[in-house]
Amino acid sequence: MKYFFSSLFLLSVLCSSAQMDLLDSMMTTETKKVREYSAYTFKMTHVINGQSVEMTKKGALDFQISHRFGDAFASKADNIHNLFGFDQATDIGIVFDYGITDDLSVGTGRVKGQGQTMSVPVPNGTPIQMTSPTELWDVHIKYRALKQTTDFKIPVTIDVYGNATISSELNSNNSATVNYFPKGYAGFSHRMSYLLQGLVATKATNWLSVQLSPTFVWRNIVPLNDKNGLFALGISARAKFNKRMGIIFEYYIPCQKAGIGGREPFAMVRGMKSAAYYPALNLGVEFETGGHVFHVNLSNTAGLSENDYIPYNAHNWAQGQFRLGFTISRSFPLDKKHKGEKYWKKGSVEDPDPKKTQIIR
Amino acid sequence: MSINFSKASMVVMLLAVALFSTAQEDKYADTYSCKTGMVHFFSATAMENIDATSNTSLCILNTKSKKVVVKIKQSGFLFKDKLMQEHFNENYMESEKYPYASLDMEIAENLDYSKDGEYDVTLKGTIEMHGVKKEREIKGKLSVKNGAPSVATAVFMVKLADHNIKIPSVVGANIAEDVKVDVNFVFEKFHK
Repeated sequence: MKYFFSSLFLLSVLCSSAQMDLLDSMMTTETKKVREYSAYTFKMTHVINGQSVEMTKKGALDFQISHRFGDAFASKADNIHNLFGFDQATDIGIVFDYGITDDLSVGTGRVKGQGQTMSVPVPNGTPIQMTSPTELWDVHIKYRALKQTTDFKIPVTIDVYGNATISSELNSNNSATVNYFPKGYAGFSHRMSYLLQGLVATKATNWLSVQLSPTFVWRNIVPLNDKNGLFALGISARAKFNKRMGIIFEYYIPCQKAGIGGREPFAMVRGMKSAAYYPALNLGVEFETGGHVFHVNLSNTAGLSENDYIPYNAHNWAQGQFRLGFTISRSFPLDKKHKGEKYWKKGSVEDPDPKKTQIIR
Repeated sequence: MSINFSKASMVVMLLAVALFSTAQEDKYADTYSCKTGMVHFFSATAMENIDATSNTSLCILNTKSKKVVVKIKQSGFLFKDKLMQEHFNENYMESEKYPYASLDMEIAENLDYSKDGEYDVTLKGTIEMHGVKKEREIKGKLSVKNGAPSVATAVFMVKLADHNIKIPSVVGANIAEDVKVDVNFVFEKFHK
């Protein structure tokens, strides 16, 4: 009899939590019925200079403004005089992006372009001095083809990004340079460059996102001994260390045969100082304030456009050729039509009265 | 002797089976559930109004034990403004860390479910949200139809500070300190 009562007591104790357990199991089965997509893999449509898988939300206009200063420690004589690059602006850019749907966005942008000076060797002659094309205007489109699910049944998010960029620079009148824009179709086509990029990202944990971005850049005009089509691989990551801040990382390495256009594999890792071009390595800290996303970064890429910094990056970290930069992003919901859309059913509950709930400070 | 023993054990086993099976049958006799519970919240300030709705909340009500448990998935809240939704999940509720809000409560009144009508009810228990439990008393209405609970509604306030949800001063003017929550659950007989 003693056991009977104690077991009855035990049973009643168990029952009180049993209802919660029942609810938990119900939640598990209900959750399995709906496919839930991973959200917020990155905070912005850009990681640092390159694209992220994040999309501009439907009906929203995303506005980004970026600034990159001059080389921080490149020259001992000038470091103090230009305040470690603060006096220079190697690149300034604005980007507008509009979300047509949650998975498709179009946009346009304008960057100054780094105007990298290059000395291209010519067989049996003096090297030709030229600068990379500046005044870059672009139109771009981004489409999200696959969305990662939280249960990892679809382990990655895949985006396709493409742009067409035109330079509005003046003609250099020198047919040996990349700024030779004669009148007519040839000159126009020389101004153009294109980018096609696949973005494959996974939100591995709730704090770590990793992305691979196979990239193809096509330039209609290139320096001597360089190739029009250039493959590159981007590796990007974001590690969130608190709910509003994260560390961002980006690395773009051109995948070319050694020597083409002066490109050497892993030039920076090998400590080379004579390579014509170096891979892009960018690091930053990202802040999310209510409404704005802001990041401060250190980068060896002077250019902001992919069509500029992937083929023409001549800056080396080891030689102090890195810079401070920042980007600010703000998204404005424009779509008035969807503002009135009802996302909830009006039940028998009274409509919330703003006057009653307002808190006076 | 051995036969006797096996007989006795058989009887005990049969009894146990009988008891267990009846227990199985009666286990959910007084249990009612809702799988599409509507939870809507509203924050009003002079700057902007914030409101969102979830139609995926779960609730189980036991008329015998008077217990009411509710589970609300944070990522299930839909906002008109997707950016607000992102901020809600990422910065305020931390939905990946605390995916659910839950209510573990008991009806204080003794209700007569044999009489149809609308009853005022008081729920006593805890609200768990953003990983913080808070003892609460919520007043609501429960309508009874055909001897079973039919619709439950309640309107109550949630103080964000109670659940350790911090609002940075820069957006302080846009988010109310107290958020009004209204719920609407339509019950049906629970089936496992």
